[in-house]
Formats: sequence, structure tokens, C-alpha cells
Amino acid sequence: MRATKSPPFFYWFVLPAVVLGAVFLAAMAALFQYSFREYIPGSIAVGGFTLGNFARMAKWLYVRVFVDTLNYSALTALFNLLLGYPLAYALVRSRSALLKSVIMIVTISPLFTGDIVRTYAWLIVLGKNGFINSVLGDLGLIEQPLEILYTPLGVVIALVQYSMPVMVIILAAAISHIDVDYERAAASLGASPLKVFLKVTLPLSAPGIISGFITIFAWTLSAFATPQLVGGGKVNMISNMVYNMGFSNFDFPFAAVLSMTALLLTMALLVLIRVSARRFERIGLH
Amino acid sequence: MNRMAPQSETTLMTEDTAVRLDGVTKRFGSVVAVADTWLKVRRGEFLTLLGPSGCGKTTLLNLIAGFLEPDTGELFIHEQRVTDTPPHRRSIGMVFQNYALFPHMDVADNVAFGLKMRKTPRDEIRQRVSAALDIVRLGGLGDRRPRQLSGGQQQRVALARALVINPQVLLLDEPLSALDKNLRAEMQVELKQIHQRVGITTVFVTHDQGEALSLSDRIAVMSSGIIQQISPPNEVYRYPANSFVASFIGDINRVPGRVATRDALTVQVEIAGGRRVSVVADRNAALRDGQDVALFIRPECLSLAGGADENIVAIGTIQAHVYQGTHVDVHLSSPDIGPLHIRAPRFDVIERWPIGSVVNVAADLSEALVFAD
Amino acid sequence: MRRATRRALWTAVSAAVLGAILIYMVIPSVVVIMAAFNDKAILSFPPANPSWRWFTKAINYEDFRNGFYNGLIVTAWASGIALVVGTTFAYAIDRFHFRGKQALETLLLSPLVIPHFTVGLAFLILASQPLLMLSRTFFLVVVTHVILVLPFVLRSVYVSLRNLDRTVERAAASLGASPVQVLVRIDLPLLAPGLFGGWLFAAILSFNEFTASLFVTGQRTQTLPVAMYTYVREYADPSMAAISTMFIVSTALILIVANRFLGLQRILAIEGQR
Repeated sequence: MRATKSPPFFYWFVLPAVVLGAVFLAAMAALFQYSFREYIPGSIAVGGFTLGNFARMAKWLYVRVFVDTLNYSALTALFNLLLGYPLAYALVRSRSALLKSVIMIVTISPLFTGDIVRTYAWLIVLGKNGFINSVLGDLGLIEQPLEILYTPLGVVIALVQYSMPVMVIILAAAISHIDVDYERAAASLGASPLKVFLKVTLPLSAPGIISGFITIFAWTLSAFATPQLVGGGKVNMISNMVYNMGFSNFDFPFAAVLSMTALLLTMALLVLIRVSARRFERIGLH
Repeated sequence: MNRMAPQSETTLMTEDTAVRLDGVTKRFGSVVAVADTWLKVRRGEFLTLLGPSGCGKTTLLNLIAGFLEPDTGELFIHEQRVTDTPPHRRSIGMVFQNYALFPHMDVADNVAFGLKMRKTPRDEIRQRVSAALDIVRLGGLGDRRPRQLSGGQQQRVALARALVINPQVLLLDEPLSALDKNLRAEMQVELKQIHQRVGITTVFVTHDQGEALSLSDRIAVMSSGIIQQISPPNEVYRYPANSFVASFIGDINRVPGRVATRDALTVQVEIAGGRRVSVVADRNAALRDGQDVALFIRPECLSLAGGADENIVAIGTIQAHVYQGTHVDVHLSSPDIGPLHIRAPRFDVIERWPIGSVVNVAADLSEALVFAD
Repeated sequence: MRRATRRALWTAVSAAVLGAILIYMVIPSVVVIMAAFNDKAILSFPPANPSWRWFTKAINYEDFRNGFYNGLIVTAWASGIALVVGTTFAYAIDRFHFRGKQALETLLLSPLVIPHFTVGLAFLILASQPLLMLSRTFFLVVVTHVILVLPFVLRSVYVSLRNLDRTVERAAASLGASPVQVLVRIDLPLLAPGLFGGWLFAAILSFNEFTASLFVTGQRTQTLPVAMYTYVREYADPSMAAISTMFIVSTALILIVANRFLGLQRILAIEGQR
């Protein structure tokens, strides 16, 4: 149907969004502009325009942080998939309402608790005198406390738990879209439960698996609180480098360059999601 | 184009007209949904817009309601020009296919909504709402929520809500299609009774010819955005204006042929297989000698003939019997004509002519129609 | 018989796997709550002498109090503005055609995928432009939060609008309701659950937002998560565990209530099939 003529309140409905969009655009433009400004050591003020900030990126010191970040992100996404799939599957397909509620509360509610609370919790779980070391020590299993905090392992452990809610939501949505009749049809044709899962459920949830993996990958790429606290300065991701550049060195131009680079990386991943989603659409899944 | 405007239409007094469309056209992109339509709905009339989906009937209804604006042409309700009047300033009552009851209001508030919009005094609202609910036999259910009601009850609430504001026209958009079969028949009777009691001008959209035939004062048969014929139900059935209406209303057999000769009273048609049949000429005035035509015969006008019969039109092999309770539908295949469908009133045909028998088919041609192919 | 044992084994294995994953998910919260009630300043497990003293200390800690009040102010403004802008714009996207609609929608949804530190840094730089005089004001914090939470309101309202049966609006119009009356008497009540869900989501996210807030808040405007971060960097006593416990418990309560009235499964679109 043809769009109705604009009612009297049309401008009142669009104007606020336009203003907010303009402010946001101005902020992003300011960031962009800063990445071309000269850094004056020891000062918050910036100098004239230069391309030098981008050239500084080439140092191994910085490249390494990017490589590490990609590494941690990939590991986090992978473990999320392995641990999240059983949860999502049980959440959608379990016949026990109690189990469903438990999974719902335990996996989804951390999403609403905030970065700091959740990250702090891992400090006292993984720390030298933390929960794991006390329990293992009391059981006589270890003599020396394990070094988990401030290591890549600790950061990934915390990151996986941090992004699990999102993975479970994505996977559960994908699994709930699979008509149980497909599974029943396979079973009626003689497939064992394991075969039904491997040959029907798993392939049909592929769109969720791929979009979940990429989403978590992109999400972890921009994680800040977890590497900042659990990494403790020894494990650095892009976000921590941006923060330190800005607030320790007052090198905002270079922080802007790093931010823009992270943004571009994220955008590239999103394009990847789009492309894979479109391919699945063409095959007829979803 | 309203090609079949009956004579009586032009003699209508204007004050008898409830809705008038003057050359209304509506396009969606390159699709013409309603093409240059001229239509007059008489006051108090029950007019049905009938046609297959996509024929433009719902678009036409939405044009009358004001949810769509015509690209060209003018629209009048009670002789007031409403072409660009928004729906809420037209005096219409509308019942929607899914009823569109307000889920956040109870039944009484649903019915009262239109009166509140008209700033009717509160006491009067209460009286009129309860009167309207009585008319649709839902008195006492005013405090229920729509979702607590059955489909038939929701239907009645929607009807009461549309009637209570005393609109100049009542518009019904396939209101029965969501009901199951028995309820639908019941609601048809009720709709007819309410219409007679209230006497409100009603425009009813449906794709169900049974509904159209049983409810309407007149039926406008639509196809491709054009009103093909507008006539009372029996005329639409017995004297369809063209081959589309003939095929769309009721079951019919289509027999290809060619005009052999014609005189003032009859047209001789040579049908496939070489037989000649003669049909009444007055309804087929435009046909020329030698023209390719199609002969349309209702299944109830065909019969199975054991022996010789002067009305035999074909020979065929019986393919299937379909027992329908009141009659038996017999499906034949004729080498000359193709498939034929016969409605036999007696059940003994199943035993007399089992599947595979080769039989003569006789036709009562008094009601047969011929249209150019 | 063999089939029955295999089945039992399969059930046991899957229960164990699920259980282990669930323990991994809850252990941080459980440990924090245990630590919060520990009487001693040094964390130890199992906790000795349960006590409330860290709760008292946390509640009376000046920076936490200020952070809490600042957070409430920022959250109230940010979620309120996001609700109004998000609702009107979602309606405009759904109903109107206008130039630049697609671009504006993409722009306002993009904070969903832009790293928060990028947004924070961008607003910090914008505010530091000498002409604007915005550096480290509440206004800056609120605007940053609005940008970050707006996509959630937009999506929530947009989904509700899509599920709204448009014939109900037509029915109201046919009964004489003007466009404004349709908006107020039909659309608003029917969209209310979606509006509330979107607002709640926005408020929770705003109150908890940390990364961008760390960039744009100053000493005077710091929100609770920022105050907590500063505390963790400087002290190690369980006050932090106490305040975390309060966070966990109040979030759980809000979610239980919201689930009761709105249905989280429906909002998150993971309703299972029968």
C-alpha cells in the first residue's frame, strides 16, 4: 500500500533521531579527525595534520597486540561454541521446565550484571589466594598456587564466561527454528538419537553456529574490562592499548588510530556475517 | 469498465444512491487493481463484490472506506463527495476479516469506541452499546475480553461495533472466511436477518460464491480490476454476462465449437465431434457465422442416456463417481470434448454405469450459453 | 536391557556435561557472594565467621555512594531520552518513507557493533573541542549513554510495531478515530509492553555501562561501575564483593519480575517448540 501522507506529528517523530544522529556523527568525525593530528608528547593539545600516526602502527609492539587480540577472540568464540551448544540445545529442547529455568537464569542473567561485577568475580576465583587455588590446595592437589590470573589462559576463561549469554541466545534462536518434525522424520526412518543430532539438528543449526562464532569473535575483539582486570597489564588487547595510549601517555591521536583500526576490523567481520547469512538464505535454511 | 450496466441503473433517483463511484481507478505500480469503475450502490441494498483473490474487490472496498485514495475518479457517499476525505470522517462501519477487535479493551469498550469518538453522552453510549449487543445476541458479555470469546462471538462483536455508530454504509471484508463451515452457514443466516432488520446499505467482499448467492441483493463479479457483471444472484447464475462469470460461478462444462448458422430465434453451433446443437439466440446476439465459440452447460443440465435420445451431445467413458449426499457427481472423459462433469440426482447411476462404461450424454440446452472463444 | 543401560549412561553423561558447564557459569557469582560474607579482610575459602561488615563498609564508602547517585541520574536521563527518541524513530521507520531513512537507521543502530571504547574515545575527543566546553559534564555522559542504549529501545519497539495488527488501527479509523487518537488510544496501549521492555533493557545497560563511561566520566561525574573499577585497582578488601553481591541480587530480582510480566523467552525469541 502507498504510504499514507505524513501526519501532523511526522517531524516530531523524526527530528529527535536526526539530532542524535548528528551528534553521534560529530563524535565519530572528531575521532577520525584526531587520527590525523600530530601528537605533542606530554600535552593533551594536538598539533597540525599528519599521516605519521598510521606509520607508527607498523611496530611489532603494536602489531603483536592485534595478533594476540585476534587469537584470544578466536579461542573465546570456539570455546563458547563448544560449551554454549549443549546449553542452548537443552534450553530449547529439554522437557523439564525446571532445567529450562535454571539454564535461563544461570546463562542469560549475567548479561545484565555488568562488566565490572563479572570481571571482579574472576579475580577472586582465579587469584593467587583465590577460590580455585584454596580449594585445590586444601585438597592437597597442588603445592604451589597455580598462576592463572594475569595470564592469557585466565583472560580466555573469563572471556568465555563473559560472552556465553550472547552465544546461547543466538544458538537457541537457531535451534528453536528447527522444526522438530525433521528430527522425528529422521528418527522414523531409523536414525539413532546421535545420528539424528549429527545428520539433522547440527547441520540445520549451522546458520546459528556461524553467526554465533562471528558475533562472539567481534564482541571479544572489543572487550575491555576483562582483559584490563584479569590481564592486569600483562595480557593486553586492543582496547587496553587504546586506554593506556590515552590516559597514560595522553597520546590521543594514536589512540584514535588504534580505535579506528579496531572499528574497521569489526566492520569487516560484520560484512562476513551478512555474506554468510545471505548464503544460507539462498540454500533455504532460515 | 462496467460493461453490463442493466437498464434500470440509469433510471435510479440520485437520492436512492448510498455509494457512487465515478470512473475510479487505482494502480499499484504497474498493476491496475481497480480499472475505471462506475458503480452505484442503492440505499438499503446488500451488494456483494465477488471474485478470485487479486481481482481488486478488497481494493475497491478500501477505496470506499478511505484507506486508499483513487488515482482518478470521484467517490460519493450519500451524494457527499468523499474522494479525499480520510476514513475517520466518512460515515462507514467496517468489519474486518480477522475482526480487528481492540485486544486491550473489553467487549463493551470495543463497541463503545466509535460512540466515544463521536463524543456521545455517556448514558446514551451505555444504552446504545447494550442495544447493539442485544441485536447480535451477545447481551451480558460486555465485560469479556475479545480473546475470551469464540470466533463466532468475536465476529458478532465486530458487527455490533460497526453497527452501533449508525454508519451510512456497512463494509464487510470477508468477515466469514475465518469461521469453520457450520458456523459460517449460521452466521450467513444471521447476517441476512440483521441486514433485513437494520436495513443498512451493505457492501460485502467475498471470494465464496455460496455466500454471495445466498446473501446478496445484487452481486458484482470482479476480475482483473473490472466489474464483469452486476446483477441479482439468480441472474448471475443463470445468465452470466461472459465466459469468465460463467466459469467462476458454479460448476460448468465448457464445450468448444463453431457457429454454423443462425436465425432470429436460434444459433446452430457445431461442437467438437461434429454434432450440431441449437441454442436460444437472444442472449447470443453478437455472434457471427463461422465464429469460434464455447458452449457452457451446467452439470445439472447434462444427463446420462441409456438409449437413443435426440439431445445426445457426446459419448464418454465414466472415470469416477463422487457421492455427494444429495446427488452424485459423475466425471466422464469424451474423446471429442475432453472431461465432462454431470450432476446425477439419482444414486442408481453408480450401479447402472460403473466406472469404465461408455455412455451417451444428453443435454438440456435451454439454459446453455454460447460465448465467443 | 542393553538398550536401557545405554540410555541411562547417555543421560548420565549429558547431565554431567550440562552440570559442569552450569557450574562454570555460576561459580564467579557464588564465590563473590561467599567472599562478601567473609569476616576477614583477606579472602579465604571456605569463609570464616559470616558477617555483614563489608556490606556496611561498601554502603558507607563515599565514592560508591556518589557513583550510585550519579549512576541513577545518568540512567534516568539516558533511558528516558532513549525511550522517547527510540519510540518515535521506530514508529517513523515503520510508517513513513523519507529520504535518508536507511542511513539514519544504520547510524543509530551501529553502536551495537562499534566497540564501546571507540564510542567513549570519540565522545571524549568531541567534548574536548574547546568550543563545546562539554568536557567531563553530566551532559556528555548522558549523551554517550543514550547513543549506546538507543539501539535496544529501537529494536524492542520496532519488533512490537511489526507485531501490531494494522487492521486494528484501520478499525479505529473506520469508527471515527483521527490519526492522533489512533496513536494515543490504540497504538500506545498496545505497544506498552514493548516500550517498557525496551526502557528496562536500556536502563539496566546504562546503569552497568563501564567501558565508555571510563572514558567520558570525570571525578565529579563518575558512575558506580567506574567507582568500583577504581576501587579494585587500589584496594583488595571484600567491600567490592559486598557491592557486587548487591548488584547480582538486585539484577536477579529485576529479571525475575520482568520475566513474570514480560516473558524473557519471548523478548529474546527463543521459545522452544513442543
